[in-house]
Amino acid sequence: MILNGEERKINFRISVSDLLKQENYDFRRTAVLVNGTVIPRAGYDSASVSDEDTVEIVGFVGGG
Amino acid sequence: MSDDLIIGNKRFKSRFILGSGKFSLEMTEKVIRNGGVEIATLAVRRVNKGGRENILDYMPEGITLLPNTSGARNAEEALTIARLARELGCGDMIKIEIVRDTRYLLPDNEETIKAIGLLADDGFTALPYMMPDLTAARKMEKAGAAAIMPLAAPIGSNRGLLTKDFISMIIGETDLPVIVDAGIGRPSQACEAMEMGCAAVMANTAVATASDVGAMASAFRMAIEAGRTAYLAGLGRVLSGRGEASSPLTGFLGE
Amino acid sequence: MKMSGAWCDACDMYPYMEDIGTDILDKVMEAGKEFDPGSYCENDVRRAISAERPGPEDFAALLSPAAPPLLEDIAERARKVTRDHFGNSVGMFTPLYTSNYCENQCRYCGFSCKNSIARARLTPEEIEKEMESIAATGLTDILLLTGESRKYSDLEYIGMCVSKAAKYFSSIGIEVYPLNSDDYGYLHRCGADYVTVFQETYDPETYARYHPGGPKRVMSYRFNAQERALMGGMRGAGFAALLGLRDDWRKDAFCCGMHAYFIQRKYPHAEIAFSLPRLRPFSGHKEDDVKVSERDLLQTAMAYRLFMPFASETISTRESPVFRDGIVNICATKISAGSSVEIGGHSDVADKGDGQFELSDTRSVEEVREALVKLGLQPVFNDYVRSDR
Repeated sequence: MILNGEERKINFRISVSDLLKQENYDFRRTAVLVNGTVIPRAGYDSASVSDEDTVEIVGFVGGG
Repeated sequence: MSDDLIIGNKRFKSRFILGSGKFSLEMTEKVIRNGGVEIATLAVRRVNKGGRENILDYMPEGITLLPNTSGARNAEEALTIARLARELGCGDMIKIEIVRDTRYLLPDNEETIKAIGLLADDGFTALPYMMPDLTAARKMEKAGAAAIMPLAAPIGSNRGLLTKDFISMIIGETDLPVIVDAGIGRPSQACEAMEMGCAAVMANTAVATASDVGAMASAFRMAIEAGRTAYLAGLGRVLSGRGEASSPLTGFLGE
Repeated sequence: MKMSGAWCDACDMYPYMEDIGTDILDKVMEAGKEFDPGSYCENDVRRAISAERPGPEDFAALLSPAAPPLLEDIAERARKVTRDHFGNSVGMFTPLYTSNYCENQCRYCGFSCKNSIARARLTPEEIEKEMESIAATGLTDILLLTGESRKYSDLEYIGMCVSKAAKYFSSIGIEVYPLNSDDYGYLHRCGADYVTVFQETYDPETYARYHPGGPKRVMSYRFNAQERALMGGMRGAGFAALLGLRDDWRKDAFCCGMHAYFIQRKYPHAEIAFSLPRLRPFSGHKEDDVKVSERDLLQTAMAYRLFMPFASETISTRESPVFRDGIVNICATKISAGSSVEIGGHSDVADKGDGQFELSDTRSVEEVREALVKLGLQPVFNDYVRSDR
């Protein structure tokens, strides 16, 4: 799996919720892209990722 | 009678929009307060290490967030970023910023026109950052933009209203609020933009690089208010020195 | 789609009239209602003169009674703006009336079906002769006119006139009765590029009074002609109010300008043109009914000029040579010459039919050309080269 540009190995499918918890993310401050598709917050429990996927975890920063 | 800034279906009292890049997080809140800012832009980026120390913690209550699509190289990427921003919970206002030029950071009007269509269809209130061009502005208005954000000069150049005449055309020929973005270096330039009839001014570098950042934010607020008041008061006529015609042009009228 | 709504009196009688569902008529009526000529003062006029981009409020001030004391200042500005946009070129053209049969009963017009005049329609051969004659004077810009008769000057007849004109002239305008957008498309393919329709008046009551019969009764169908023409692919549209019909000519001039303004906003590529007709004597018409002076007409022309600097302005032969020369020196950019408003007046085709109005300027093409040169202006016969023929 590629997470924010870095290679990661995960051994089995996990839900997006669990991934965020595992990586210590504040849910309220993040949005998630899996293979280029935006995952709505309401779907964090049902959506899952595997070792084949590319994940981006983004949030707001100063800019513009 | 109120003189609110109206963008889409939202109303604002302040016409000073803050670009939040280039500030330390601690300064952000002071600038927003001193500047009387009600709208602040944000970017969407990868967040590592759990997303702690987040800029949202430094945004006062009641601020309207205006995420931009910086990083997008085309319309589809702009839509994806807009959707991510919406998931982050900022409402529907998005500043479209599609830059394919790493030297001058000039926006791509063509991709921006396409992006407006995509975003408007997806329920976003789209504010396009653009290179001032009346034809492009008309197309953007037709595509569903809620405002037009022409650049005054290249981002970060602080060169003021280089594109003044072209911005003036857009103000005259479209019905959308025109918000000058990028290149404003001094409060006087912000004042001039407002005197011309701009609906609002956005600034970032000019404030962030001042010696006293907080005071500069106040200066911008006052300048923008002054310019707006002058515009509403109706600027006086320019007394032109006219050439003397040898005989009056209307002398032929018999009656 | 059948027409409905306000300004649509009698449209039931004419089911062929296309409804394009536009809101411009309402916008112009709204603007006209709000225009209060008495509310402007000298300062408003001065501001309008020096405004970089005069808007509707400035336009209103320039038309108001506060403007005449500043007429010379306005003229200076109008001349500068005209020079900036047109250099010192003045386009020359001539009108060709091909048929004076008419179903309408316009009270001010010589062609009214109530008038007993000699009615005629040029045959294709006669049209050819007229056009040859006109082309021989060097003119390459022609305006084709007919009365409103779907029997005698139907669409095919007009198309035939346009197709013939395309052999001799590079710029063809038509001033015929309002048509549907498809019809304009057809005429455009025949070779016409410009459509002029005089609204006459923008006040519904006055309009109804002066147009009691015929298809011209339907005010909204006439009003929307320019938009239908542009939808049909025409390059440009011409506007005019016949000053003197309505009690306050200023209101009609204002509405006319706003009409052109809204069309230009909606169709930024369209070439806009103004004509400057003024109620003038015609047989049987009383002199003292005419309420619009030369001064008023000049004021109107200059207001149009400052409000829409890129629009062309045509001065017709209804006005005297002195007036025409004077206005062309300030803001008019197109002038007719060698005109005949009769049917068959240009060549040796015998004067078949009576004219629409009286000419005040009967100068030939060469005489007008010389007058322009004397004024330091550049007569232009040809602004376009046809690439598609």
